[in-house]
Amino acid sequence: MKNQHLHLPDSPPAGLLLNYLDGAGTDSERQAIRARIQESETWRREFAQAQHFRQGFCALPNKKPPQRVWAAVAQAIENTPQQTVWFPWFYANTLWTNAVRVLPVFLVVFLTVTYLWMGESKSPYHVVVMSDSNGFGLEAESYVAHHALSAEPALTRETLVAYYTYNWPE
Amino acid sequence: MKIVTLHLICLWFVCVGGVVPCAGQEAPLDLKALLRQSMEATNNLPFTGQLIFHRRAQDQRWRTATQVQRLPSGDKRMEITYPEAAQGIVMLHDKTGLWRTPLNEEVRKTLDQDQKVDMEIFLRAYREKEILNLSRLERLGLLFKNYNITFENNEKFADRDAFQIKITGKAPHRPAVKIWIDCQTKMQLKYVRFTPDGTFEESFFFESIDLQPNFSQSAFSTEGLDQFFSYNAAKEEQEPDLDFTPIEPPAIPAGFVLRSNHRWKRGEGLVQHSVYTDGMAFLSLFQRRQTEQEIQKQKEEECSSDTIKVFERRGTKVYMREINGFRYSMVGDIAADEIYKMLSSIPATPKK
Repeated sequence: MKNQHLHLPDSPPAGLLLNYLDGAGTDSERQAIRARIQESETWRREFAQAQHFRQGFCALPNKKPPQRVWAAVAQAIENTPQQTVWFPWFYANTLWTNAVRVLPVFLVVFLTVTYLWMGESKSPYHVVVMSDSNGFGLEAESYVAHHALSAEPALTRETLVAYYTYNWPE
Repeated sequence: MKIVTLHLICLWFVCVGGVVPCAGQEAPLDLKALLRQSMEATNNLPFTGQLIFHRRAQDQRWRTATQVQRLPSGDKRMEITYPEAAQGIVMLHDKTGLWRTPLNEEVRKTLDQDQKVDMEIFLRAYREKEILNLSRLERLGLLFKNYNITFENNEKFADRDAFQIKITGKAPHRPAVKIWIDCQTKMQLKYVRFTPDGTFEESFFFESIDLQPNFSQSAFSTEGLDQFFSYNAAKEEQEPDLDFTPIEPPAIPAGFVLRSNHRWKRGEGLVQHSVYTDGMAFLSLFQRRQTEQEIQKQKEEECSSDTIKVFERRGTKVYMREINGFRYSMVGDIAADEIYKMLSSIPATPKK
């Protein structure tokens, strides 16, 4: 049942038994592998080979690399071209580095202020806002009504007439 | 079993639920044709319904509810049901003319001269336009030239399946509208208009509508109503002749054309009212002679003839310029700069 659940094949996949020996996998997976080893001759043979390989690998002596390897590494480092840095003092001086980082912020603020300042630029037209007391009020109000009455649909006009007739509050 | 049931529910939602608002209806491909059909249907189909009208007035909104009916013959009847102050006012439009509930005499006495003028203008305009032309859309060719039409979605409205379309200006600072069009009859069920800055301006919508109604002929009786105009009284409708040659400013905003001219007499003199439109936005230019007092006052003021004076009333701005002994005033649905430009383009050469 467990083997069916994990779908273990007739022969173990590469690396599975070595990983098992290293302690990998969940409890249920490890239990399934153990069961498969017990019931399959092929699995037992492969498991024995894996154990033999692991024991041989662990028995290898721990040797340091020869001097020529270190010499090759040092030579490779020397041969790597030095990266060209734009204005090296930017990177050498922390103050400049921070200044460069905040430059976009200043740029955004500058552009925003400039835009707003341009938006408030003086209109080419001489415009005066009038009050009620200058005598144009009644006429202007009448023009608003005429504009509304002529440009709007009949129902709106009906509403406006009701408004003017019954003096509905705004 | 549960999974199968879930799949079946999802399948039903995709196949049926997703198109419930306009069952069996695809998104319309030709939106211009759809809009034309909707205008035709809205202006001609017989129906009866409860029509609501909202309009923004400064920070508040007006709300009017009306019971409207249109006979197959074209006769129309509108009765205001809300607000209570206007409840019961009937407007009836038949082949003989326009009829209306008589105004209360006390109210009539309180009307000042300007309000009476407004009434006259209303009555004149009423004859020229469809009583139930809900939207301000007209001159669709011009509208298509200056505005984009886009399909929004399918939506159920007033218990009917509807297409929702949106009309927005190609030029900046133009009004926009959304319209709900009945899938079956193409009748406009709802109309919402936004100002150029995107705020709500006005809306018409049917709370309920019956497009196959049974009409009561008694509802169309003119008994007890005043006839405000008759189709036979053409002589009374003539506008006065102007005592000056009206000017047409050279710098009209892009996309706008002259729609109509009206003339009437104010206390200060004869006024010419020119209406310009780009299919949806409107622009009014009023011109009249200055009175002697106004000319004298202008001389005393420091303002030159290049000055544009702005007066605001009920959230609408009126722009005025006095030059060569004439006063030019403008009201419009467009940006102030465009109106400044139009007013400033009036030449400073004297007129005869």
